Amino acid sequence: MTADRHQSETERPIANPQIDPNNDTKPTPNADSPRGPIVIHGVVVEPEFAEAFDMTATAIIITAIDRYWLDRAAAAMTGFGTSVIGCKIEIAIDHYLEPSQTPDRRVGVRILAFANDHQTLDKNIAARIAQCVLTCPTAAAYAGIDPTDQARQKQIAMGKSVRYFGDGYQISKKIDGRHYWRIPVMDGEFICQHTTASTAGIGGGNFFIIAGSSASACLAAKAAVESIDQIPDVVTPFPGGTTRSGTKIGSKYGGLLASTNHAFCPTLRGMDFSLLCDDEHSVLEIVIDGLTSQAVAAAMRAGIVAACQSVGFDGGLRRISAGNYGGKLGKHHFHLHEILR
Amino acid sequence: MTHWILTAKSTARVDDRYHEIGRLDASGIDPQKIRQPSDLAGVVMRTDSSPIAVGELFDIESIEATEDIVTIHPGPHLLDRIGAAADRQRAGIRGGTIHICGNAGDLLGHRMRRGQIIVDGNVAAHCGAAMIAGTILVAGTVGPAPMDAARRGTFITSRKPSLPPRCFTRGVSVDAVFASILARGLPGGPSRNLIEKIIQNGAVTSRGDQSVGGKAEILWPNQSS
Repeated sequence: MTADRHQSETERPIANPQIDPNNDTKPTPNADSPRGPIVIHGVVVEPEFAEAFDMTATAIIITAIDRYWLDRAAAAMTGFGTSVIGCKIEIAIDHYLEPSQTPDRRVGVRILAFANDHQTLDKNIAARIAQCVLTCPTAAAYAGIDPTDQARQKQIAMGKSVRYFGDGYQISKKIDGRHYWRIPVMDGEFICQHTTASTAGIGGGNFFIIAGSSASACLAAKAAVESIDQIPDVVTPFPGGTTRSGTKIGSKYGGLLASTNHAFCPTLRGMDFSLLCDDEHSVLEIVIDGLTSQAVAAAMRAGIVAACQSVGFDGGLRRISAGNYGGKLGKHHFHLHEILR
Repeated sequence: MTHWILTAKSTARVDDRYHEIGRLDASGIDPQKIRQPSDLAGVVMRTDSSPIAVGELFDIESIEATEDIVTIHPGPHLLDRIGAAADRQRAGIRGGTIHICGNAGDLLGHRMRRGQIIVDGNVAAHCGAAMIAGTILVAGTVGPAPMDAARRGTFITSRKPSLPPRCFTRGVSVDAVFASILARGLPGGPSRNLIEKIIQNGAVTSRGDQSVGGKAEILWPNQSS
């Protein structure tokens, strides 16, 4: 996700943030600023904000005979879905489901998908269902947001589109008010709900993990994403929930929508405008998409606290910041200090 | 959406005609065409002797529901043509559920178009004949010529029915994942038990009626599991 910060040199972080002497696990206000900086395990959380955008979202439930095939279907379905910049949609696993939580009593997974508009989401979900779930042995696909909910009028095609693969042998069933398709395939039949509903979503919640080394940054990011995974209704679509290639808007090359966020690239320090201190050598960005602003905020909080607690200043984590565009592009502003307080 | 519950009146409460009635034609009972109790009470069930209305034979209750359902607790007389196409109608029921808490007569689901018919007991002859689509589930035994000339639709029964040769494909074992979805909307009882058996043991499926180019399916529990 993008992170074009409009910070002046005077706003650059201090090189050696104050360490909380108590090493408290809770965010600790400090008297140095009006409401005080927040320091967690010695790691300063900057008074920055993440700028996020309205998106169109949907949810799909995939089930399969066992966890092995479920993971294969989910991996295929969510593959190449990290950013709308290049993948059209952002898609990832929300959480796994017990057999008692799925329509067909098998193990399942809830997947969330986000796009800039309904049409793009509709087209890409149908294609992914057809190529990634229909093809996977024993897998089935169901709506993750109830399409019969009167409040959600817009539908995303699933079986509505894939049914034609049945070449006339497909069977339509309406059960308990919901519409399913049974499509004959070589291992039996593929069951797919007619549609899932779309809803308003938020894309681009984020925070930066700024560390003294790649090892420290990776450890902190891993802890952050594991913690975010426990929060419902959010996903972190990048590899391992993390991206090292944070972007700024535009490029010196025409036609490129985004390019490397050079202000946070440690190897460019000294060559160009930099937002990194001398002891900061690795930055990872956690990008969060969610169904509600509350869910995104909860995920950011969980991730930041987990990153700081797991690594801390002593472990090489230096700062937590966030990416924004000066607040001019996205209407959702997640202020790190507000979230943590 | 309404759940209508028809309970046969005790013989003591109806007139002498009740005892003279042969079999009743229930094709007028369509879950999606009932808006108020009088719609249902006024449905005429033609008989061999004289017409008689639903309201004369059944007590009618209604409760709010998530779909249109008619539950029938039949009396001693068999209801023929449940969910079937009525006179001068091209198709039977087009949606909703009819649940028979007992036995049913001939031509159940004849030319039904959509929806579900669930029978906790046995059915007589020509069940699902000329069926266009929908689902029929019979927990008990099935009379002669089920799914005769059926085009599409699903017929689930407790054991392999007697089918005319060359009209239906040989039975093939399948994992009936679909049955788990079907079970969600079913009330407890014999029909639910049948579906649970299929979920547990898998099913055998046969397709037809090929004499009319039909692609309907008949499912019964896989006994070999």
